[in-house]
Amino acid sequence: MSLIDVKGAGHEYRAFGLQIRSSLPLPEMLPATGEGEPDACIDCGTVPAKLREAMVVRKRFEAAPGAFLLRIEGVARYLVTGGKRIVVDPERGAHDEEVRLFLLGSALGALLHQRHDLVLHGSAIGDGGGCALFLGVSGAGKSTLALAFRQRGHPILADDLSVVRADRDGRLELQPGYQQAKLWLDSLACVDIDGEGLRRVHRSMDKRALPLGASFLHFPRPVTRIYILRPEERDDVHIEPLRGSDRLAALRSNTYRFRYLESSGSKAAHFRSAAQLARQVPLAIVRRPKDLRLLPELVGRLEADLRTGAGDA
Amino acid sequence: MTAASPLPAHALVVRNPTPLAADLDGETVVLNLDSGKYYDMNAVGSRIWTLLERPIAVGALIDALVGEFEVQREACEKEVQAFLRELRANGLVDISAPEVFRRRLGVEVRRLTGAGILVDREGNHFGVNQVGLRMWDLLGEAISLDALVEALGDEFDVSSARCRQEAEAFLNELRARGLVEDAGPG
Repeated sequence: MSLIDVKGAGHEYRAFGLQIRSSLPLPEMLPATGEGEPDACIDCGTVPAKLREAMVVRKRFEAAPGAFLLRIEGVARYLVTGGKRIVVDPERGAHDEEVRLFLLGSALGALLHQRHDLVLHGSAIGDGGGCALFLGVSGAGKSTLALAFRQRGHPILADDLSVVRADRDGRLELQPGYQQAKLWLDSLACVDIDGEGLRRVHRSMDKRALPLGASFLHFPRPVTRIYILRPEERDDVHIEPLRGSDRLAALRSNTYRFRYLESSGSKAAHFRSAAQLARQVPLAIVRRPKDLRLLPELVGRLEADLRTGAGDA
Repeated sequence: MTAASPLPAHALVVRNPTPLAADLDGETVVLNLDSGKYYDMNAVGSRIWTLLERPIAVGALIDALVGEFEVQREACEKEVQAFLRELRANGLVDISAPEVFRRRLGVEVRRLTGAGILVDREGNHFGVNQVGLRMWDLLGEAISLDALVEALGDEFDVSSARCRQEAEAFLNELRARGLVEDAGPG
């Protein structure tokens, strides 16, 4: 019998189908269930300002095959290597919430890219035995729509990062992400949630973290439908199936931090899995008015489309 | 070959092996990993990309397309020329139009009565008739297409136009199979 925990100061979590050992507490993730070696480790340490072998140098990041450096001024530097390790170097006085915001977003996204996963920008909801993805640019209404479906009894699998990976039989599955969704206060109001009491994800942003609780589905599900959300100057909702090479182009432009793939060594893997997903799963563009007045109609139309898959065309 | 002059019919188009391609309902998307660029091809472009699976001469490519699509030969030629140039400019294909050819070393020839079989280093067989066999012999030394046609016209009783057509097709077949190589500028 020992009074000392020999495993050391580490928290074990699971997210995106990976076992993650972290020296930082990450309440956004579910605790790990199994034993065994983690797939990825998150530690605090010193991160250099530059990547020595960088092939791509941008204002906020540098990249080379298997190595990625992210610099967020006033928050932290993150070094992501080999699809297995993230070293976090917080700046003095940085807020924990903000350190985690970029860790669980951009840095984890880079790690998943390095692992050759297909990382899409959007939310995922459970539908029957499968799941539907809502993709789109920031402000397209992905999280809001997922919450509206949650109100109607659908579970949520992912918010912001939607990770698709082939199972042993080659079937593409959405891997459940974090047990929270991030939403603007006014979006929360649209689905009758008072966000005032919820934790802010960033000091200077009115975006709040909503714990998903029992509505978080933590099992992988095959992807059965993909919607690309497009807010436009219009008064109605229009659903339009995508065909041919447009399907692959849509997945490309809705890949999470697509520019991180440059010089990552993962571009070929991304191309192959995106092409497989585009071939297997129906994709549609959802054109909607910019404001959210038609949210109930939008949900109704999408529910009908999920049942039939016909679109408007 | 300058950029402005048309690619000759016997120019051989060879796909660069590195680009990745995916077919989506008959439309091809190609990713050139060297440049990181994506190319979305329409139905005709996709068909051309498929025909380029094996090295093929520009003329043979145009023949195939004219047979498959409802298109005038002249219009087709213009489009194909432009498309191939674009593929080449983007590093997706190599195009070579040598003036002089020579048979490749290491190809074995089995002579039968009135015909023969060429066997390459990998053991692939390619049957040739009497005229083909004679061409193979002539290709023992560097020779231009014009010289080949002239020599064959003297020996066999065929019209010059027909002879040129057949010699060119045969030569392109040999090049596509890697049995004949570019012998440098004439």
